[in-house]
Amino acid sequence: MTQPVLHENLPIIEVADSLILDSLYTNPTTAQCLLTRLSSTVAVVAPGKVDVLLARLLKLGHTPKVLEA
Amino acid sequence: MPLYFDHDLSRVGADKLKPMVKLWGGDSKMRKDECIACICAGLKDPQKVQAAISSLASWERNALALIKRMGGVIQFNVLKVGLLACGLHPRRTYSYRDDFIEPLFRRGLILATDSYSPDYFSENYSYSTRLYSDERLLAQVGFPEYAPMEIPHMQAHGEIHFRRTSAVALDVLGMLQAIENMGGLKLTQSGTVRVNDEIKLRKALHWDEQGLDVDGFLFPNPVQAWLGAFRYSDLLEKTGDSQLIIKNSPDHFARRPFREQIYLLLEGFLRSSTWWELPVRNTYLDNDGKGRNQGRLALMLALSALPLNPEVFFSIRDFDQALYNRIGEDFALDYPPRRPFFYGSKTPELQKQELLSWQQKTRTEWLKQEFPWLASAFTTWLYFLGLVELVVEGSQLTGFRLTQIGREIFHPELATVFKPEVHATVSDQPAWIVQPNFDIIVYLDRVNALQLAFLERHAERAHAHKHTAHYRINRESIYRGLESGTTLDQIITTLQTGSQAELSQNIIVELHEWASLREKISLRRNAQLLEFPSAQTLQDEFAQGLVGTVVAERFLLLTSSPIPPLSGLTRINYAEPLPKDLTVTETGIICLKHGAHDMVTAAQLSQWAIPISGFEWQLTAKSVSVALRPGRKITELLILLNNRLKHSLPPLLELALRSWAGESYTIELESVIVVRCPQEEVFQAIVTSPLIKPALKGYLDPNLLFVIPDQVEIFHQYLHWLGFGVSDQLQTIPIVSHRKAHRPG
Repeated sequence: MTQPVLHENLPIIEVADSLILDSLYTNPTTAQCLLTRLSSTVAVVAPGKVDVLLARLLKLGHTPKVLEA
Repeated sequence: MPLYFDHDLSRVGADKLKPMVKLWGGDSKMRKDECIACICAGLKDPQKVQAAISSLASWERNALALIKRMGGVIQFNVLKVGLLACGLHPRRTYSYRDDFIEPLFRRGLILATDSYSPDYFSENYSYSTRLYSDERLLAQVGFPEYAPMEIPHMQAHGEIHFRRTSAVALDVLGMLQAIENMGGLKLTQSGTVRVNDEIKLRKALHWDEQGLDVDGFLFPNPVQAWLGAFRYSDLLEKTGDSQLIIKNSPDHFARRPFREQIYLLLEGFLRSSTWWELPVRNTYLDNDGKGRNQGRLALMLALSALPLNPEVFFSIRDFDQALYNRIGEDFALDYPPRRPFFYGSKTPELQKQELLSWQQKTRTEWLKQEFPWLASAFTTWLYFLGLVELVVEGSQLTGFRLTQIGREIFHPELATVFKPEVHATVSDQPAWIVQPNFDIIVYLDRVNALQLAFLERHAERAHAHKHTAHYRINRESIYRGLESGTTLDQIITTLQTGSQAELSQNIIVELHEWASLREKISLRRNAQLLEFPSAQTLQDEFAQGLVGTVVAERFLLLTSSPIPPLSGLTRINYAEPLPKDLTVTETGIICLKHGAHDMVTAAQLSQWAIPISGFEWQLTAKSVSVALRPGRKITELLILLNNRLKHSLPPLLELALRSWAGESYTIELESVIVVRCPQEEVFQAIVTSPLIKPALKGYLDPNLLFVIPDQVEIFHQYLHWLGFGVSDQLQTIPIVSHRKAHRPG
């Protein structure tokens, strides 16, 4: 690519510690909601799967902050 | 659009307009157009409207007040029963078509709204005209007036039950909060709440399936009751995606004066047509709820007509008799009774006897059907909302009186007499104790609605008694509160100000800990992410004042709008369907169009197929099987392919994918010797021949026979003996000409 691309309305997950994202990628129930890992702490969430991921995170004992944008 | 008479008056007959015009100073000599102009001019002038209303009889003003209460439109039957319940109406002659509607129409106070003409009124078992009045008349009419009910006081023996206003607020706020926590309720196509969501709500509120026990009184089917009341109280709204959500937050509701909260819910119960006060009833009784709507209105009006002495109790039986005396001969939950009409062929004595017999029968039926319903209305919504105190002897409801909030609600005309209610604000009045083990004991005589709304949002209610309620704060409840927008400081401050003692240190430490846990993961539903070709380009743009947060080497998270003007910017919106830029072969090779640059397709495909290159993937039985292992469904892949393929999915590949996912498809394959008999008679002759039968393995309709391999020679001999021409080439249908619709068999 040579030009900038604006990804609008893209669901993403950000974590404070890369180990959290590592564990989410290794957990089969959360991994299927995660797509491209942009960095050690940021990943793209499959569109339409935010609520599924949220429910699974809560089940795992996480308390994620949910933001609209 | 305002409900004005102006538009309908031209469709009213001239003879009927003449009496109507008198209210506005006109006379019977006026022509039709003059009558219409006179009425319209009168309605336009607020002073003339005020004068007109002042000149009305009490029962006529009551009619307007009842129409106003029902939102400007009322059914014929409801208005009639409402007027009777108020106790002020002209003496009835009981002649044919004796009702109040014609006089109100002649006065120019009502018109029909849904009949073919605004001056046509009808009432029968299945149909009742809807009536309306001009909004400008309704705007100036006050509260209804009542003929006080002549009903003796009773000595209250037995237990007296009442509900504190805070207990009522606690329950109502709890219900609203539960609906909010569920994210709304899903609706069926017919607009009712899905059964699953009703069950979830019931469980969230810890309600029993059989009904709710409120201080020993059964409240049947509370979910249906309250959902109906909330919907008609305008507290819930329907979204575009068929969900029922709360219109404003529970906090917002809690900020309303308590009287207003209860009044709203009461109006909701009045209009609710699905829920029944009785747990067991005849299924066919009052199917559409019209009877209950009329009955509830009449009951509310009758309660308003009670003597206002706050000290005295009334017997439920006396009240029932007094209400029956007012409406009993015109109202029933199912079919209203019809008073016998005499055409003069019977002697007065016979008429009197027949009337007496009818009255006795009507009263007996009322006691059987309407009285149990009336008693249940007292023990369900009237008690739950804290409007009545009840007297119970043994297990029987024997009496009642209005509570203070009941008197305020049923006598709004006396609002200035009652002590003005202080609007609920954040109170610093201590109302609870937060124990070191995170339990909160709330004193219901001290807590206000806003504090209760706070607790419902930030703590789990364990149980509630008459004087106290017990809550518990935990990580989930605090998380829920933070997610709803409350800050940690607000939580600590409100807990502290509402508490009778200092919050213990471990509580504060734990609250901080729970809040910090929430900062560890952020889920952004609709991020605006700017991707640059290189980290250097991003840094260059950043240096030139681009605002955002760098979340990865080449990615900037935009945190404010508008979108910066960047040259050559491509936009991909993930809220809309992505372009169809995939192809797939029958062998499962998926190709993504070169140049496609979204952030999801490659990763989604890599979950299902083996990457071959940057733009190619291979679907295999193993790759699909691995993808399915964590719980995915094959339909997810099929939907992805169907949404993104430029062409339709090859049927063979679809079957392969389904087969790899475990769906079972069976075919049979065997090397056989086939005999095809194109002529039906030949086929039938061979297949039914005892001579040839031992040589045959079987047949397939319509014309294929299968020969046992070691019997081929013998079979040949039979054919030779028969003199048939035998070709050694089967005439098959070329595959190229196969069409699904023409598939044989």
